Amino acid sequence: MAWEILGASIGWDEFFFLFFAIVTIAGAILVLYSKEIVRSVMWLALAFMGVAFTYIFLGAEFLALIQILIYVGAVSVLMLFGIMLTKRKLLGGDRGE
Amino acid sequence: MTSIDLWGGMDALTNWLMDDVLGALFNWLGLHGLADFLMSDTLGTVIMLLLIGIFVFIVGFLVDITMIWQERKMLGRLMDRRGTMVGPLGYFQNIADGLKTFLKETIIPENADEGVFNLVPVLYIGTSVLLLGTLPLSTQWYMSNSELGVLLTFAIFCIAPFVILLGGWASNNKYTLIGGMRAAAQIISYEIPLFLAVVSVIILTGSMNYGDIVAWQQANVWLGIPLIIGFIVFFIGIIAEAERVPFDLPEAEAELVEGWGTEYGGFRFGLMMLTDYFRGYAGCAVVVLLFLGGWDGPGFIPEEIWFLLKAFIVFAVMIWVRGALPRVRTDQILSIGWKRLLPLAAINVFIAIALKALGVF
Repeated sequence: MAWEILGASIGWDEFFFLFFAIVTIAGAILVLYSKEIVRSVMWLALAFMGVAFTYIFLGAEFLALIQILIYVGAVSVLMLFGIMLTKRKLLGGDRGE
Repeated sequence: MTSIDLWGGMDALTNWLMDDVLGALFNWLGLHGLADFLMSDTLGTVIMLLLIGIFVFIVGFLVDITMIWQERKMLGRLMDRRGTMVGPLGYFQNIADGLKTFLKETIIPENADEGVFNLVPVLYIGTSVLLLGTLPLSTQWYMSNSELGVLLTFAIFCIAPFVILLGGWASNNKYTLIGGMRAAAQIISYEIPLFLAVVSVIILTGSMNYGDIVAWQQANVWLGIPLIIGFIVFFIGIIAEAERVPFDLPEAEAELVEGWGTEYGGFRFGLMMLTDYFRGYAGCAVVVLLFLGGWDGPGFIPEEIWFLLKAFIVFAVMIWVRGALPRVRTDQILSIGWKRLLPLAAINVFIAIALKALGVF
């Protein structure tokens, strides 16, 4: 099954690639625009996940699993760990400490 | 060796359901277009995959319920009491507890970060149940038979500490935050020895596929015997991965109320308790697959039963450990992970390389 969009033929492969590409980019943008720094790390993990799924579409399953294992499992945890050790308030803004 | 052919059976069930029942019914009603759609191969494949997923989940769920019952009954005996008493041998207590949690009100704390707070149970339960799909029960009973099966299991396993840290933060409670921080401190101490123990298995068997690893063990020897050090390291690591006593620092109900899950009440609490045992079952299953020969055993019992029997025995050892040992402190788990387990895991990797280089296996 394929659709014609703007003169280009879009099959299921391209559709899912575009979907995960949009998820990755949206996650990366939301990292910058989140007010809450912990939420930024959450969006960053989503962006990492999107990159991992993109790797699967490139045929690199090993790299995709390592991406999840290292970036989502370890790097995000380390970042949250670092943020929470340095931040004085639990939740920012008008919420109580 | 006998085993249950899951894929063939589900294929036959799908064909019977879609062609002989629904297709014939709609043809009889005169809806030929709908009947053709129902009998098409593409829809048949989707239905078959769904049925396989449901069957794998049902078996995992029943094992999970049985493990909760096993833990409550056996821990009761270890503490010199009777344990659960509802129904035959107390088996129905879990169902009663599940119904009870189902009737409770869902409470969200006023100052919590509501979006993240609601997302965390979804991610925690979802990633833990997903583990069931990566674990084969026999040569023919599996959901995914990936070439990278071991890596897939651990990639899914290691998402949970991140989610726990997020949940501990989103509840906006000091106890939950301490629990989340402990989860992070724990993951950085046990994961490296755990993976080094897995690496020694991969070095000897030369594959990351569970089927190949078990076939190697059937042809040679159970890996728990030559790699006894790695087996012990891996077992300790997997107890920490499943967050069971003595490494249940993020929960620590005696110190932190309920740890990172303090603010989650009602049915979410019930589902998270259930999920802990999904992770416990997945941990036991990985121990059995990597070190105890998987579904290897005399052929008069089906392979699946051998596998589950070994998983229950490993879980019984975990319960014994829980009954015998006190909880470690946060600094103690760091020193256990980095000063004790890591050198042992490195020695184990050297043993594996030596066995491979000297041509013993």
